[in-house]
Amino acid sequence: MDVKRNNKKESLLPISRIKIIMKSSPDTENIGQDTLFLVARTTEFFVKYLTHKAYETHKKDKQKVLDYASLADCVQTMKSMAFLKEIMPRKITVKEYKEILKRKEIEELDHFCTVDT
Amino acid sequence: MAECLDDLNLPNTIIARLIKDALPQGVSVTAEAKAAIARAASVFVLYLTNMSNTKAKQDNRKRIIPKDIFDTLCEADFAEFVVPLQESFTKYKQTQNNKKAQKKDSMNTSKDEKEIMEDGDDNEQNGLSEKSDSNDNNQ
Repeated sequence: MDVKRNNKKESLLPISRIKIIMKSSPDTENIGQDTLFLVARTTEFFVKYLTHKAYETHKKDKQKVLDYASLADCVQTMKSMAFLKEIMPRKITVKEYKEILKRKEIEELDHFCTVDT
Repeated sequence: MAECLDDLNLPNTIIARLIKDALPQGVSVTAEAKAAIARAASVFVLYLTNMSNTKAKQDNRKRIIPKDIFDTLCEADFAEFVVPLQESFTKYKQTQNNKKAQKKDSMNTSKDEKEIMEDGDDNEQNGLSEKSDSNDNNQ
């Protein structure tokens, strides 16, 4: 399960890239080297965690493929993944989308009617 | 700073390796899922940064320190990361300290060598001056 890690390299993800991403946030002012390492490691853990959880949730299907749908399911249902909700939405077909639109239109019409009366 | 959009993504090969590690053997991952996980990882870094930033601001600090990250993880329902992270963090600290100690040692030894060299130079110079003195005497 554990990755073969070079003795010289403490984190797999490039620290420089992590720094660029962190600095792209406008509030960030100062980041220590320790913090950068910590964020890199945390992200590694997170990737493994997300993958593992997504695989577990769709394990019942007995498929040997991890696809986007199971990832989206996992993200939409877990509380800790709530920050990813908008980035990983469930995919819907055009037909479903049109149905949603229709429902919304009807709701709006109802709303107008109630306002008028 | 980020110059192009690609700079904000994490390297795909490493993400793919991490995914492979987390899954049992024989399970494949679609390209779409891989891309989604990579994107999620980038967003996670930003999410962590923002939360720890507010923590630092609350303490009237401009610098994000490791404690902010640990606190954020506990708050964001990722408390199970904390223990293994602390382990690897202490390891990292140890290696870092060792490196520093080694550097100091090498600095000291190189200094000593330099001093010895300088001493040697002095001796040579003295020898030369003595020689020139003797030459003067001869004249």
